Amino acid sequence: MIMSSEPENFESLRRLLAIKRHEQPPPGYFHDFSRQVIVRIQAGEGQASESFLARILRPVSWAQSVWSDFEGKPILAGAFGVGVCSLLVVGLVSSPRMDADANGLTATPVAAPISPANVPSQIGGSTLFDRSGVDRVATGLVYSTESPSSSIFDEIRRPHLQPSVRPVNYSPGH
Amino acid sequence: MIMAEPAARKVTKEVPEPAPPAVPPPQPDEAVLVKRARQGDLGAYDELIHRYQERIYATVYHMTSNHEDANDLAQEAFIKAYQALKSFKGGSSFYTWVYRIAVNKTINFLKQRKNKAHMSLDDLDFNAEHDPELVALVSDKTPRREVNLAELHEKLNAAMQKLSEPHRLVVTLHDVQGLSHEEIAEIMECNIGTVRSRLFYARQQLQAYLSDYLK
Repeated sequence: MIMSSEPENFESLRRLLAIKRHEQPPPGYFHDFSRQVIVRIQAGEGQASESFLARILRPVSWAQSVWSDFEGKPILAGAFGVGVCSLLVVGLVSSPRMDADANGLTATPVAAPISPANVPSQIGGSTLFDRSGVDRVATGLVYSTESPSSSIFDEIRRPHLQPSVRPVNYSPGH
Repeated sequence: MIMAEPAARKVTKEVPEPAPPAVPPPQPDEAVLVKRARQGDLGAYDELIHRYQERIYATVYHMTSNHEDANDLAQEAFIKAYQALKSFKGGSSFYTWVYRIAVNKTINFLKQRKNKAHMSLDDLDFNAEHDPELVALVSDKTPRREVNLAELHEKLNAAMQKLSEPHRLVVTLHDVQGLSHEEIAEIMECNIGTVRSRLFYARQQLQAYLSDYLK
């Protein structure tokens, strides 16, 4: 593509663009245009005067009206986007704090922990206290507090960590 | 006795006095029409539509290059404007405000249509072939003398479609519709410098695309 030697001289181009002023819609098009708009406004007047509650209760129309509001007011759309992003950032910032709080709770025992040294570690060839967390035995119910960094979902997924009832005086062979 | 009529009166009899120029009925002010329309007067809104329909339609049409799309978008812009009339503070003219609605609708539409562009450009009207400037442009000013108006028109529209939406809009509003930089800045909600730079860039692009057809 060859650029003109005088790119700043757009006179020929402007003359050429004048062609577009001659592009016209079909004859008589504008005779009916405003009538069509008015008819559509009259048909849609009920929706426009609808209460806010009614708009909310019709989710599709509500979403459409919000979308059209955003189309008409880009500033509103921008403000909404900023709001959503702010919520996201606040959520991300506060989530480590919640973890820290949770860690603090697990680190503070409610009852005095029973040391693994006081409980036989080998029962039936299987190791009860072979994890990093502190297990507690209370009235025969053995339950686990896994290491603080692990997810609660991991706890649920591990079948051997499910609460189970075992007699305290259990010994192999009985 | 018959009195001779004064010469002056004779003259007035022979050459009838020209009828006083028909004074068009005063058109209501735009602000008055907007106020009435806001109160639900659809007649007033009809008058506002009549005033601006051609310009709004033309802008949308030059952006979309499709009559059906331009029709829908122009109608929707006026409907949207009516529904949002209560939020119109009057900070700008109603004309600029409707323009902004139409432009935003059109740009959103074009983004959605991106890969489904189809052109249905209307033919040029009869006057185009008799426009002395255009005739001169085709016969004298164009290096390729064999080119005809229809072909030039086609190439121009193809070049316009290659521009990005903001650049096409600026060229349409300024070079086709004759709006000032200030009006365009208000419609596009940007500063005048941006309008000027976009216009310059768009013209450069068009000039490059159409170099074979320009002197």
